[in-house]
Amino acid sequence: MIPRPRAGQAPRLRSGQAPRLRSGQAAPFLRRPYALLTRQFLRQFLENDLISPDADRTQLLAVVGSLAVSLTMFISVFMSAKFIGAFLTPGQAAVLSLNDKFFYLSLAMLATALMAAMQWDALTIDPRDAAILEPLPVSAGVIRRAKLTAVGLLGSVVAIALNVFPSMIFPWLLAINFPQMSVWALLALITVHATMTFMAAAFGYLGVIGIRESMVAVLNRRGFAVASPWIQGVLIVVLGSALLMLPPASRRIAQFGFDDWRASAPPMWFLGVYESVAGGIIADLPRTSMTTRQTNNDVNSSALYEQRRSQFPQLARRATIAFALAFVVAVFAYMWNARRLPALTAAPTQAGRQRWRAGERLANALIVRDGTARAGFYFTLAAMWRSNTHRLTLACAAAAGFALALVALFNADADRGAPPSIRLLVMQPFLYGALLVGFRHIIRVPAELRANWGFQLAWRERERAFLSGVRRAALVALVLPALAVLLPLFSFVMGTEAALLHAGLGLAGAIVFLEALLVSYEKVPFTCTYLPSENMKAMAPIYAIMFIVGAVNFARMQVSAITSGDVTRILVTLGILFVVFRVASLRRVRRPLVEFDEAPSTYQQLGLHT
Amino acid sequence: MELHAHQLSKHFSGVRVVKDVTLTLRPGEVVGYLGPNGSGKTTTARMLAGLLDPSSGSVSYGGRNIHSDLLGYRRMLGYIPEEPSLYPFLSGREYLQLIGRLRQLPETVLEKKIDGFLDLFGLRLAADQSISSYSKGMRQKIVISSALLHDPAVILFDEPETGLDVTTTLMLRHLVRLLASRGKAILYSSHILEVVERVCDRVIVLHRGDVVADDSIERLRVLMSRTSLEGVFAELVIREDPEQMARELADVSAMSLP
Repeated sequence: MIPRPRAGQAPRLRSGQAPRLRSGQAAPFLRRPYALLTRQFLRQFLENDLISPDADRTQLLAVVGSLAVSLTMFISVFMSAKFIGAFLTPGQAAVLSLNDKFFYLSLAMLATALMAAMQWDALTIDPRDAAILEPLPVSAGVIRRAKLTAVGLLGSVVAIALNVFPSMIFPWLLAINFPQMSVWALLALITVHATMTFMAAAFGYLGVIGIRESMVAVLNRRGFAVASPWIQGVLIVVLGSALLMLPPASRRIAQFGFDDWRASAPPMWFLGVYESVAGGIIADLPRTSMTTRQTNNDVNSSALYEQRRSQFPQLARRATIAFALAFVVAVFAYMWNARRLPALTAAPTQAGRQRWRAGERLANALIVRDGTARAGFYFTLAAMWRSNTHRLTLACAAAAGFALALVALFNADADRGAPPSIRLLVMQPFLYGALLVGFRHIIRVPAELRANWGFQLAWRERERAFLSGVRRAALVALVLPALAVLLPLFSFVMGTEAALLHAGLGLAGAIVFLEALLVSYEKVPFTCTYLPSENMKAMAPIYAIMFIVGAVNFARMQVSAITSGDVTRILVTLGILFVVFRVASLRRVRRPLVEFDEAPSTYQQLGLHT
Repeated sequence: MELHAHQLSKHFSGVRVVKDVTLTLRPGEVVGYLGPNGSGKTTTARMLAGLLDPSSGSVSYGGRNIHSDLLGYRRMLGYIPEEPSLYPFLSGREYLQLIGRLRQLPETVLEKKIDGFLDLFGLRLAADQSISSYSKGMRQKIVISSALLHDPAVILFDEPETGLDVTTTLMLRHLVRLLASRGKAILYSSHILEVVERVCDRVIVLHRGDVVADDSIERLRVLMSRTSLEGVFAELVIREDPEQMARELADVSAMSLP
């Protein structure tokens, strides 16, 4: 039965006849594709169909949004408490607030840059979008504009969510001790803070887009496809490490000044603009009655501030030039690359295939001799580096590891010939430990859930052999590179022999740590349904403390072994721990068959999974 | 050994998708499994492969329930699913290596088999490219290769010709007959009646989860007084007039814009 138009509906047109519009009138449906596509592209940023095809986007958005807002609100109240508790003079407040302003500017910049780096391929029209949208009667210009709007909206929303509460709380608490400050001055401070943090966030966001799009333009799409995972991984490690290093880096800004490398740090440039525009609001406040001690403090702090004040305009100029450059590069490169919609092209063949084969033969002979272990070894290597989700998680773990290692390094004596210290040697277990914790997480996440039927049919219940290949892949691809990265530093400080001994002990420690992490693991890595641990939120802080305490104690044992030259004790301890963990793993009651498609426990209780 | 399904049924959220299907696959026999979209063909194939637990009924191989020794059964099984879901970040060669190693095939034999399959399916040049860049037909060839790597005794083809080019489809028909002549028990589920007519010894016709026919093609033709399998299928399954439906579809397509 063919539906007929109801009475009152627009008159029907003959087949193929276009609707006629009055001059200058845009019919609503002509505006629709742009809005529809923008909304669709925005939803793609939340796309997470790998793990949970039925994930509630609204819930995800609410959780992420509330986390960003509540966290920044907590941070701003916590950090600004110092302005309430003590009576600070305007000079002292001007100096002290530089630390906070640097922190907020850096946080805004790094958080949006990190978010852009995580979204990476979703920032532009991908071949899948093009394949779906190109056959439709929607012009390429509309698709491009919709994508650009969605990208801009995403950056703006994140920047606003991150900065809305700090922009209100920080200036208000900063001014709370100064009744002589007018309401207009406070409003000006709030406006400048909001504007500057937003600009810093935009700079970080545009910077990442600029880097990505410039690389696409320079390398062309095929070359970029090869380099992209590495660039994205490095960016996440660098930005993530910088973000984690932010609290210790946001101290004594005025005292250290803005020379040397500090003058090259982008947040410092924006601090220059901030202070050029609004620095005087606090620093130049009329002084009220003060005690002699307060007067002395104010004079000293004001002198320090005045000393730095002359540098702010120069930093501000850098900020202006850098922002303009980032904007022009990002927009120009984006538009240049978007001239043509991307096409699905055949992936480049692996040029170094023969060399890879030689490496494969070597690995088969030395590392994985058993067939099932080989399957686990090579599948793990492929999933770790080629699956976007897994690579991102490892990059975040690497960022955490580097941040911990750098914090330890800043507090250690790392001069040539310095004796090995716990603070120096703990860098190594921090780095590979963070990577292995990340690895423990990624093996629970399926590489492609729909493809696990192949595993199910070919599986021989040889999970121990498979897992041994997986373990070796982690040691080869994560632990050995981490040890190699730190080796030059340790060679410089302790000498080559001690550094090699340290690396060897680190490898032994990593083997034991990996064994400990896998004691309770009874699935097939990268293939089974991902069910988040229900108690992880409660246990995470305890695990983190255990990790730091364990790493420090291991470093203490290494110091003792390297200083005395006697490694027997540490090796015996590691050997005993290894046996304990292995026995614990073997004694666990395992299911008769691996469950590849495991329903959530709530489903199982209700019997909804059958 | 025979693969026997006894009164297989499957419910999804209270909806019965497959109802009391009973069938037997004997060595050397190709059984066609026919039915319109949504009739339960893929669900049956997944239950026969042990990938899906039946709500009721059982599947036995050599007289033993397959779930009593699922691993042993899967050693004998090759399954080509309708949807070729593969790991997109692996290359075709890597995927076959992975499956072969999991099946514990000796490395030298595995490499020879992989090279053979890649050559014969014309995938040599694309062997080291990631599967994400493969066409549907290329993925299907990888799936077929992975199902035949271990020389299985029972093979379940679930619409295997999806996306394949003409040459490969023709080759596949010969391959199915050849495998049957070597004693394999084969279930061949397909929409393409002409292929089923040429390849299969016996057909089972499924409609809305029910088996509506299970016999040799010749006997079905005689019973239904039809000259072709298409006629038999239309008689058994097609309730609407296809011509009338086509006309209505064309009319809907031609509806004018408001």
